[in-house]
Amino acid sequence: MLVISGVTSFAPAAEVPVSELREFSLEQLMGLEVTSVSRKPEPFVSTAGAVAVLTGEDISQTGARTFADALRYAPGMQVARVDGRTWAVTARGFNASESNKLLVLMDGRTVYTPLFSGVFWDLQNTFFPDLDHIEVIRGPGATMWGANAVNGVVSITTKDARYTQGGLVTIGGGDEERAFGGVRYGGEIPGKLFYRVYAQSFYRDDLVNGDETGTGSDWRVTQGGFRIDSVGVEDGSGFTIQGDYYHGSIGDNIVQKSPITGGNILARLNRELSDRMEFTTQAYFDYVSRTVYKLYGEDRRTYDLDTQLRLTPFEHHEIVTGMAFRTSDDHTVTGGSTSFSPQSRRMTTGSAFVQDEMRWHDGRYGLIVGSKVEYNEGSGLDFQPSIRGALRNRDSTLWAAVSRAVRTPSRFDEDVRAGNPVRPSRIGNPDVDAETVLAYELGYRAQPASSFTWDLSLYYNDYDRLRSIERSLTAPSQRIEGNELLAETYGAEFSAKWQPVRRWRLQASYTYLGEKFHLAAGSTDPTGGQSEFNDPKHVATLRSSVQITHGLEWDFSVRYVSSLPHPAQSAYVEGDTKITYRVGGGWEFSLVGQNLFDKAHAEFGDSSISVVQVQRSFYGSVTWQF
Amino acid sequence: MAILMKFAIRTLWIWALLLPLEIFSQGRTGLSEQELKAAALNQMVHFARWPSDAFADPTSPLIIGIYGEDPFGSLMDDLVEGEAASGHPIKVVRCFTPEAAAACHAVYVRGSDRRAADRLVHVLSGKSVLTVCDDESITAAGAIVGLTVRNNRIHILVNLDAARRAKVTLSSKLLRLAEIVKE
Repeated sequence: MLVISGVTSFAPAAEVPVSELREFSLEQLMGLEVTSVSRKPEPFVSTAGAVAVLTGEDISQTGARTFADALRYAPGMQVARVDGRTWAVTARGFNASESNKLLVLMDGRTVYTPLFSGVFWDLQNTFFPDLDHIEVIRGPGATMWGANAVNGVVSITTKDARYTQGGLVTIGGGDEERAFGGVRYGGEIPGKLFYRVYAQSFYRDDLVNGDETGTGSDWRVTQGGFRIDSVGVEDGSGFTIQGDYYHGSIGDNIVQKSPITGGNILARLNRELSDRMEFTTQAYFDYVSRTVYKLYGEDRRTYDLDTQLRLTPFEHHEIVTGMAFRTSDDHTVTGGSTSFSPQSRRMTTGSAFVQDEMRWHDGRYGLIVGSKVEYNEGSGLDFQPSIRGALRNRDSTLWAAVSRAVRTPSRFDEDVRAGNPVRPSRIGNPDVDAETVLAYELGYRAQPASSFTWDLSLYYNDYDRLRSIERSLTAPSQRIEGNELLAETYGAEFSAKWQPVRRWRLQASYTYLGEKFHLAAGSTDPTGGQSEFNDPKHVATLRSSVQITHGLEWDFSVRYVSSLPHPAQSAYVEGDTKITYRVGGGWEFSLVGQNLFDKAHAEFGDSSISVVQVQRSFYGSVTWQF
Repeated sequence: MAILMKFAIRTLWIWALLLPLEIFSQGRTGLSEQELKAAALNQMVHFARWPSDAFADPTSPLIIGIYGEDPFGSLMDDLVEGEAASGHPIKVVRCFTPEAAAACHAVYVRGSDRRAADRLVHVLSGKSVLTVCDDESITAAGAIVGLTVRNNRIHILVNLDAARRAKVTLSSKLLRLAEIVKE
C-alpha cells in the first residue's frame, strides 16, 4: 500500500570510480561515448512487469482534466465514459460501469470503495499542475498492494512540496469544461520543511442523449488541500503530511443535484534505521459522503494504518515486509429502489506480507518471491502469492510472473436489496466468497536505441468464483448473488516510444483482449455473467508531441476502441489535441480540443437514443507562475 | 492444496521456457550520460570567471546548485570533494527556489520540467550565475551553457548573449569546444 511497488527494480550498473571520472578533461569527456542513459539503468528497461508511467507532462499534453480521461492513453488501459459522472475503467478486461478489479491509490491512500468494490472516479480530483505521475501496473499487484489488485493497480502521486515552490494561478473555460480555476502557493521553512496549499474549482457541462437533448448531469466541485514534506523525506528520513477537502454537486436527469463531500488527511513517516534497514509507516483518515443519482448513497469513514520495513540482510537479497490494518465504517442511505441491509456496517481487514527480491550478477538475474496474507470478515483468510523472474541486459529485460489475487466481497455483493423494498428482486448473499485469479504473465522490454523503447506483455488469466446472479432457493422470482461464474482471459499489450528528431516524440500502443466466460454446473444465472464484462477486443492509441519553436508545442492524440458486445456499442475513433504557448516569465497559454472526430459519440451502451453521448469540445486556459 | 500444486507446476513450466533464453550478452561497462554530465559540470566551473563581487574573499567557496530534481544523486558531491577552482573550494548544494538558486555561482537545471526551467532562467537573467541546462531550447532561451547528448557524445552549447548579461566570462578554450547558439 505504501509508495514502493514491487515490480520496479534497478540493476546496479558497473561503476567507474569517481577518482577516474574526475581526471578526464572536458575535451576527453566530450570524446567519450555514452553507454547507458543513466547511472542506474532506466527504470523503463529494468522493470520486470507490465508497468507504464504517465508523467505530469504526459497528462498535461493530452489535455485531460480528469484522471479517467488521462488513463485513456496509458498502454493497456480501457476507459469508457458511461454517463456524466461515471467512467468504466479497467485493464485486461471486466469493464463495467462499476468495474471492480482495478485498485486505485492516491499518494498511498486507497480510493477503492468497499460499497461496490470499485472507484468513484467523479470524486477523484487534484490540482493537476502539482501532479507528479501516474503509475499504471497491469496484472495482479496483490502481493504488495493487497486485495482487489486483481487486474491492475493505478497509483497516483503528487509532487513533493519541494518541487512546487512559489505561486501558480490557472484559469480557463470552454463549451464542456465550462469554467475552471485554481491557485497554489508553495513555500519553505528553510532547513526544516517545504509546504504548499491549493484550492480549485470547476464547473463541467452535462452530456447529451442520442437526440442531442441534455442529460442534466452538469457538475461542480470545489476542492482545497495542502502538503508538507520535511527536508529529509527524499533521503530516507522525514515525514509527509497532506490532506484534501472537497464539496460539490452532480446533476442528473431524474432528480435535482446530488451532493458530494469528502476529505482526507494522511501522515507518513520514514526513517533510515541503518544502511541496511528502512522503515516507513503511514496512517490516514478518509471521509466520503455522497449519493449516486439519489438511488443510494454512503457516508463512509476509513481509518488505515500501514507499516513497512525494507532491509538488505544479506548480499543479493532485498526483503520488504509489512503489516496493514484498515477499518471502514459506513452508513448507507437509499432513494427507494436500492438499499443495503444492514444499513450501517463496519468492515475490518488486516494483512501482512513479505517479499524477497533477489539479484545476481549485477542484477542480470532477478527473482521476486512473496505473499500477502489478508483477513477480512467477508471471505476469511486469503493468500496472495506471486513469483516473478527477470533476465536483464543493459538495454533489455525479459520477465515472467505467476501470481494469485482476490477480489473481496463488497457491501453490494453481501448486503444489497434491489427493487421493491418489501420483496426485493435481487438480494446480496453474506456467504459469497472472494473472486480469485491465477495470472501468468510474460513480457519483454527493450531500448535498442536511445531514442526508441518498446515493450510487449502477454498474459493468461484463470478466474474462479466470479460473481453471478443465481435464482433464490426460497423465492423463485428473486435473484441472489453467487460465485458460479468462471472465466479465462488472454491478451497482448504492446507499446512503443520513439523520438525521431529532438523536437518530435511519438508514442503508440495496441492492446488485444480475448475472453471466455462460462457458468459452473448447476448455476441458475440467466445472464451468463454479461453484467460483469463489456470489453473491446482491440484498443489502439497514437500520440505525437512536436515542439515547433521554443515555447510553442503541439500535441495530438488519436485512440481507437473496437466494438463492445453487451450492450452493443460500435467501434469509434477519437482524437484530442493541445497547443501550448509558453512565454518567458512564467506565462503559459493553451488551447485544447477533445473528441474532435464526431459531434457526439457514445462509448458504453447501445445505439438507442437514451444512450449518453460524449460531445466534441474545446477549452482554453492561462497559467501564470510567480 | 490443489491450487498450490497447479501454481507450482505452471511456475516450473514458465521457468523451463525461460531458461534456454540465455541469449543475453554481458552488460558493457561504460559511462552513463549522468556521469559524463556531472564530470563536465565539475570541469565547467574552471572555465568561467565571475565578477569580483561574486566572492566575499579569495577562499570563500564556489557554490554549484542543483535546481529541482537531482539527476546525479551523491555523484556530484563525491566529484567535487577536495576540489577547488582558482582557490575557491567547490561546494554542491540543492536548491528548490529561484531565490536560493540566485545565491549560487553555477546552477544546473534539467529541461524536462520546462515550466520550472523557464522560470529559473527568467529570474536569474542578468544575475552573475552560470546557468547550465541539459536542454538546447532552454539554452537558446537564456541559459548560458547547454549540456546535451548528440551522437552518443556530450555536446556543449554556449549562449554568449546570456553570458554577457550575467557578466560571467567564459574561457576561449571552452568556446572552442562549444557550439555557439543565438537567442
